[in-house]
Amino acid sequence: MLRVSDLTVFHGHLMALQGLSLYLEEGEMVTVIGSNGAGKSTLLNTLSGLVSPRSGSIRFEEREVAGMSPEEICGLGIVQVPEGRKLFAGMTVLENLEMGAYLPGARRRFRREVERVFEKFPRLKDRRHQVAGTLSGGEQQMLAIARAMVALPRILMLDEPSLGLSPLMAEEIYGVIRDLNRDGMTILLVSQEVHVALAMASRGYVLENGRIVREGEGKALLRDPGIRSAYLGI
Amino acid sequence: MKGLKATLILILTAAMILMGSGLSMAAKPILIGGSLPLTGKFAETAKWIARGYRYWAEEINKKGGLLGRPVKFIIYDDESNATKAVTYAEKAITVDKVDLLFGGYPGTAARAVMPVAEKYKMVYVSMGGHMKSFSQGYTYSFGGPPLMGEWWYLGFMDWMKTIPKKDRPKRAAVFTMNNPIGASLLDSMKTLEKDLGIKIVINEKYNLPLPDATPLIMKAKQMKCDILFSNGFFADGVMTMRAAKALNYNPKAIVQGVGSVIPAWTKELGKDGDYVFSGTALHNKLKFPGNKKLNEVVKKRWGLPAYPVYFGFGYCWMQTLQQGVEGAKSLDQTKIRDWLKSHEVHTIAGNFRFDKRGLPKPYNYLTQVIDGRVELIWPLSVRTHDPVYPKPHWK
Amino acid sequence: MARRGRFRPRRVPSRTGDRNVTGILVLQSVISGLMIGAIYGLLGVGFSLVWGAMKVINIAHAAFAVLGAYLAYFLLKAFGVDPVLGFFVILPFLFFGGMVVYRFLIFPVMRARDIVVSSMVLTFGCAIVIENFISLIGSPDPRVFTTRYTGRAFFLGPFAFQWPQTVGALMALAGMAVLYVFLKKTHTGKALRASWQQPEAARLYGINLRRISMIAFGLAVASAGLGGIAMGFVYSFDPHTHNLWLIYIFLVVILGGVGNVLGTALAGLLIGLLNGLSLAFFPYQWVNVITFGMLILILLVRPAGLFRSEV
Repeated sequence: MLRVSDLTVFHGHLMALQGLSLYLEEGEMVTVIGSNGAGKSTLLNTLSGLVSPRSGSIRFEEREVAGMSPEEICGLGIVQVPEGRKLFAGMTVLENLEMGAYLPGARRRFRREVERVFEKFPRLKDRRHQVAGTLSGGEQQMLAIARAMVALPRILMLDEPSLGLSPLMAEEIYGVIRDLNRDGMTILLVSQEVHVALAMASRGYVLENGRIVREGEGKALLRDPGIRSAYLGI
Repeated sequence: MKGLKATLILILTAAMILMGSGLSMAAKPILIGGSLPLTGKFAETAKWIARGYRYWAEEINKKGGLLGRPVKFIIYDDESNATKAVTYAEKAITVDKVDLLFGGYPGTAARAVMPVAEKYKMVYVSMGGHMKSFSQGYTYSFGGPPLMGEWWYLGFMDWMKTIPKKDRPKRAAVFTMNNPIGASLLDSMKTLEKDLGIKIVINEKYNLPLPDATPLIMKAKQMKCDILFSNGFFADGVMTMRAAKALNYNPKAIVQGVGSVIPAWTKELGKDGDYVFSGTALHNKLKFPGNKKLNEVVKKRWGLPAYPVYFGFGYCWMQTLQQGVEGAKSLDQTKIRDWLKSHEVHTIAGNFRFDKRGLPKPYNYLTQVIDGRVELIWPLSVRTHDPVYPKPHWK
Repeated sequence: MARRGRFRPRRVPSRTGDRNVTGILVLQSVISGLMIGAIYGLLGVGFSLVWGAMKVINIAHAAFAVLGAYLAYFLLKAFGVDPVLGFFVILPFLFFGGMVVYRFLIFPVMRARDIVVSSMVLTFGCAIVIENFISLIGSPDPRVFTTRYTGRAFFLGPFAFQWPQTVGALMALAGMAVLYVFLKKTHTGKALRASWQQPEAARLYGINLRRISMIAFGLAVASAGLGGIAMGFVYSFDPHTHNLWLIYIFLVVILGGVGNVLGTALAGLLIGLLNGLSLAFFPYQWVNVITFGMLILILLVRPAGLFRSEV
């Protein structure tokens, strides 16, 4: 469904991603793990079109996506839930969702989609006229996911969804992500919480200094001694 | 951006001087230097002063020059900044070594340059910066003629004395803008009560911009004031007039501080601007020799019916300086100064004798807008139209 | 409105009791202040819009206002078009003109390292160009609107309302209401707020920042034109007037909270009120002291402005 090959990205003179390749099949949940500064967010922002790659290709269903504007990419269904949620804090829950469905295609189906999202997150429905900045951390993350959902994603990319949440809340969010995947959503999950991510995902990639250093099935990587010592502290 | 502009003007001026000197090698030109706010908020007025200066130069050069030498202006652009005016005055004196200084604008710039002129012993003929600037003991500065807020209503007062006491207004409403010009206008009406028996019932100041004149006029009407002094500029004057009309307030006379003498007053207000009194130190309808010719020149070159007042001022200050130089038969500044202090000069604004401070005898002309034209009312010797008093009611 | 405006002003009930005179005058001054305050508010809101949407300090905002007033004046003089109608004639020019200015002048510097400073320099240049352009095609003399209802007033009880001032204030209120509804209720307006709160997230969901900023700038210029026409009903204007107006815009925007539309509108009314009261109530020297004192206090206590800084 998504095939990234030999992707190289620069931040000014610094190389952020170096010859990176990965793929994603329909209905899969894939995780990219790595430490701070490994290039995970850069990867997602490049896929979203916020950052342009220096070279390499990003093919989404036989279509070259690299170099497209964020607008076009979002319209194709590659949708990101950004790190730190980046909600429109001064706007209400409902307005945030409307902005998720900003593009014409999503806007046409907004009424139906917003009902589905509210079914999934009843707490958001109760607070739909509340200003987003006043929600609790967990509710904010739910809203961030919901906002991406109404954009009609075909691939949902999540960047550190549990950041800053209590363990209990984080568990709830991961539950939501698992449910989404079970319902057929293709998911690319970026996380520092290596254990949870690898346990959930069907496959995983390990990113270090802008390169993929290891890839494989999630469970297999969890057993990998190198990863265990580097990321799990075991 | 402005620096660039100033530089360009300098280069152009320099180029013109070079070209000029090439053409008339015979006699080295007399350099007259200083600065005017050619850009910035005073640029419009200053442009006319510069035109007045240049026209004077053109005229005198045609007649064979000053003391037989052609005259040349070095006009720097002080960007409406009095501090820069001082810098350029020093530069003109010390670097360009000009033979004469010309007067700057506005009053703040003139006041700032006066001590510089004194320091270098250069005669400085300008509008001055109201009475204070002439009380500093400067000996080389002349108001020839000056623009004196303190004298502003002299013409009005003198004329009002000719109205029988029973026909004079009894209660005055005075609204004054809160700035130095407003303060000096107030100064000029100190004797209103004593000399004319007009009681000042309301005496209020307001900040610019005036939010609305309605409350002021309402108060004047309620306090039954039968003369209104609007000591302000054009903008607040227009507001006051319109509020007076809207509230149907009909005093015997309305006196406007500044703004009713400029063409915009009659052009923009139309009939509603009629019958307003004001003062002026110079007017294009004055009968003194030269006014007629200036009006013709301005009509021909700029398509205006008569010369704007600051064109006249520029020309007039040069007339004063010219007579000083010709009288002294020298460019020796002290000799010019001494001649000016001991002789009468004849200008388009009138004939003046200067006192120790460099000021002529206090004077001011009373004007009234009648049928969309500014007419001179007082002194009688300059009258162009009979006054309309009391003011007809609003229609 | 103009036709029905041919009221003969009724006699003002003239009371000689000084207390009544003062009481009525204070209220009359409040009315006057609020009317001019509404116009300051509108000018501030447009300025705030540009600041909020693209972090651009638009020094030329007041110059656009003066330009609007001049265009309306021209229509009035040449074709007898009432300035209120005139606004609708020039609205498309201002709106698209604003978008063009954004696209070809502002947008190219948006990538500069310091947008605030480079945009200030750029818009300062714009202001000078507009000022000189107006001086060039018109003359630099001051202008005033003279309409059929100029110099006319209507009375509500003892209070006088001059028609031009009232029309100006109503235009400003309507302008602010339209901007408010646009930002709160329309899809594009919401996208505008979203993009100034979280530009990156806005892009992720398909909001084209360049397009949305262009619309914001066009709207701001149009609202400036409206504010300028409203000002023209109250004040005379000349090519340099914008310098004076800009000071009030700054004051209102800082007081109301930069980027805060509702707060800016309220701050406009507040400043107008203070100015109005200065005519009747407290000694004139205090007005600027109070206004700027308030400003300093607010900047110390609530740096985000007097009102909650939500859009």
